[in-house]
Amino acid sequence: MININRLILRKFKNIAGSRYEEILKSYREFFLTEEEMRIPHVESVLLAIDRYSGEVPEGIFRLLEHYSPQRATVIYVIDENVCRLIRDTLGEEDSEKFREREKELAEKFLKNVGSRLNNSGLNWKGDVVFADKTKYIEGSMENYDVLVIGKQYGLESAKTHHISPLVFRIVQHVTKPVVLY
Amino acid sequence: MRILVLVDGSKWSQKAALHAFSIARGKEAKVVLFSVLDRKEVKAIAFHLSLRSENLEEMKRFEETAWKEMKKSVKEVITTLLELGRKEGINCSFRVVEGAAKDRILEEANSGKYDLVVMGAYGKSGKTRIGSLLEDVAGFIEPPIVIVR
Repeated sequence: MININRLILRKFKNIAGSRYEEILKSYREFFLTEEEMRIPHVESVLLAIDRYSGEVPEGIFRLLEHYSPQRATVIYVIDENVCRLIRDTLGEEDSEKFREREKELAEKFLKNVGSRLNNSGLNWKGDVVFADKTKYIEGSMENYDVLVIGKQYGLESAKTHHISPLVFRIVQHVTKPVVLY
Repeated sequence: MRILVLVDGSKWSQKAALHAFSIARGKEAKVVLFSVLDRKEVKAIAFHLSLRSENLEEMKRFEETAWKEMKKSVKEVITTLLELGRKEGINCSFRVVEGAAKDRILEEANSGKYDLVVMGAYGKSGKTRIGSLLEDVAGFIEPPIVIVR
């Protein structure tokens, strides 16, 4: 309370007391309100991985240890649109083979990340899903406090971007803190 | 863990600092609040707001006042954050430098001194397009980076 008052008073001097509501209405996006001036607590983390993101760096595991969330989920989303494209062009059988191979790979990735999370003593669960990558992650973030994702996530083409367009979209839409590695 | 927080005085950078404190609280960690003051930014404001004035001295005085206010404002935000962090038992310090924001930020963030960088999703202009920030800075920062909203 003292801290935020000091900031408001500095900007608005003596009028802050009587016209606080009006100031809040016009300038809310420029100063922290009393409710916002609090250290948050992270209880749940969603870690999104895929074959394009590369290995999860050691620094991310250390960060997760610092968060020590009650709930951590590692999600591997296989692009359903690609599966559909293969089914439409090459047929059902090839599509099935592709899905199986992708799922095997995803489980391998999950196992590796999971084993490192176990070493950190973190309580986690993993999942492999077939879905639209961005929509699935954006939708899931309603239930998590922090998203951890690689800068190259979903970047199938040549790595000319510093941040994948998919990650751009996710960062723009997700309203929770996003950790990029 | 050594955490660098980018503070430009905006609400969003303050939220970033609070998030950094949540990572550091009760753990072995050090938080550095880092701010870049760009004289050019003030010069541009002074020039454009004084367009009708033909008095160069007046424009210079305005620039000087704005520059002092900018420093004062950022230092005040940093002091408030430091007080809060230290009250929570967090090892935190600050560093204020002058220069071009993007260059100085990348120089500091990629110096090898930090394990994590925390920044707000927006700047002093409030909620604007988020993409330019990511392109300009986040894409080039080597340690993991937390974008806070």
